[in-house]
Amino acid sequence: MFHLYLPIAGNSVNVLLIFGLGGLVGILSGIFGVGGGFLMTPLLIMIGIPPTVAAASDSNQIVGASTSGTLAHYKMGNVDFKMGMLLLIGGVAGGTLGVQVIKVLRQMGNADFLIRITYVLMLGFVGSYMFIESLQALRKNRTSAKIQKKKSKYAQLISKLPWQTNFEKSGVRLSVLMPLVLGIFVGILAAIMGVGGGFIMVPVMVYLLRMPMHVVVGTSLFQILFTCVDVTIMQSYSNHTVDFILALILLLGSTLGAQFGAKISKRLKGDQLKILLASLVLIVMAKMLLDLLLTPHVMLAFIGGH
Amino acid sequence: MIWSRIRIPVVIMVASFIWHLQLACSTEPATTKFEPNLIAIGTFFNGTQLTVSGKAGVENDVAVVVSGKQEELTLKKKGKALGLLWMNQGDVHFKKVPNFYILYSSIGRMESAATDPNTLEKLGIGFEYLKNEMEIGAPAEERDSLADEFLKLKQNQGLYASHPGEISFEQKNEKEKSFIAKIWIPPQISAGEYQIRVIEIHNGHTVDNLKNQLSVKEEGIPLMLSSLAFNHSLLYGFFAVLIAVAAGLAMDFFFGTGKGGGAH
Repeated sequence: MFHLYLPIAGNSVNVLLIFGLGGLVGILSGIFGVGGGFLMTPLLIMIGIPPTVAAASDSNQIVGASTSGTLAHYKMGNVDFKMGMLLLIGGVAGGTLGVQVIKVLRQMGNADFLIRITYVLMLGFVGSYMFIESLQALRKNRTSAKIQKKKSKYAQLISKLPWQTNFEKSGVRLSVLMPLVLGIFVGILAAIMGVGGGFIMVPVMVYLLRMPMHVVVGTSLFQILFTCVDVTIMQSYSNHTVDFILALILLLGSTLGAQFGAKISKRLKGDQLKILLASLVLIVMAKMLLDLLLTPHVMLAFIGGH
Repeated sequence: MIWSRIRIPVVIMVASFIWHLQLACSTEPATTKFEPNLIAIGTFFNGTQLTVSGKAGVENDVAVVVSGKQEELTLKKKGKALGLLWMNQGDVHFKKVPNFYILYSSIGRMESAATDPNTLEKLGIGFEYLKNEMEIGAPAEERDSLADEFLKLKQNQGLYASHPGEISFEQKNEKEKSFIAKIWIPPQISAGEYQIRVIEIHNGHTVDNLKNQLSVKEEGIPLMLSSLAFNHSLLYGFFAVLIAVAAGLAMDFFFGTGKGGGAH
């Protein structure tokens, strides 16, 4: 009962389970502006979906969730389109470059090892930094934190870059080069790590672009939408790994979840959001570290899996 | 003269003997039933049961194997990097492995006649036999453990299974008994042609080996979607994106907050 057959995954699934899973990940997506692939893909694999199909169908699902989430955040005035477009252009260029970089790395051998370790270390660093910083900010007076930010050497340095422009929604004045270069950086990393990049993009926007947390969430979702449209079409065309039925059930849950997530996000303060996201990043890091340390159940894996 | 007198009775006797002989040989194949012969994968397909029933000698065992076509596979081998962290390390090629293999047998039951646990392997049936048959592109010392891991992976996928002692018997008379194998075909089975083998075993030897075809076909929405995904992949991709965006818009329309929420 309540089972549907997935023609591309080649398995049947419980509709209610998949719908619930979509809803849960949609809520996270709406709150934090992340795609949620880190959580969804392993859960789908666990219920018997082939790894490549799980990742590709998840991208299709994120298209729906991020459309819903972007709209919800847009209505709250949380989407900086100008910043988002620049990050996106950088991201696409970086992603294309990253695919070439990974080919070279794979030829050198043991690339997977380096990638995993870098990813775990980076998540650990970003997660811990965000956690400590937002914890301190929650304790301190907000105004004193703002004064501190203005004095930093980093702020002085970026103010000297050419082509300075105002990003009104974010309330910052920055060089156009900043989002472009950082977009390229995140694009390269996302391609190498094989992840959507939300986890890297959000801290980059908060700490390096100095954007307010709520605008970060909305803008990140806007950018994720375009990235996932590209991934869905490419995966459908080259690898035939997008299971539309699976994506449809997931996105019915996640688009609904994203609306609730955006409402929850609105009620939380920027630092509360940061500390929650930091905890999530640290959980993901711990999970990845455990995967590396614990003896696998089966010593063989399908190509393209985790 | 004598020949012409006895010719007719002799011909009748020989014909009758041949007819009886044929009848005796064809008894089992004619009574073995396979139900169904065709499995349709529709929108709500969630696996199905295949029933194989027939008659066997009173002291015999029965095994039923459902197998798919042989394939070649390349998998990633997991190993320890720096003696600490588990990683995918290099490819392993497997050849001569069926894409689907499900075995049910009466061996292992209390009333089973077979005493030798290696009976099936000797007759070319079961996981041990598959292990010996598969070709693995790896050093000889790793062969055995890789073959075990391969079987484990396929069992986790639901594509391989072994059910010893899961064929039940009912005593018919002093010479024969009837058997019934209720075979679970998991939803992971893919469309294609499969072979069902029914093997009757006596004293470690095959006394009867019957083969039947099983067709698995997609129909309805699964057939439509997979043909679209493989034959018109770009269109399928655009269609998937379009529906996802439409769902996102619809959810915002029905459940979203109204305009003018204001920024923080």
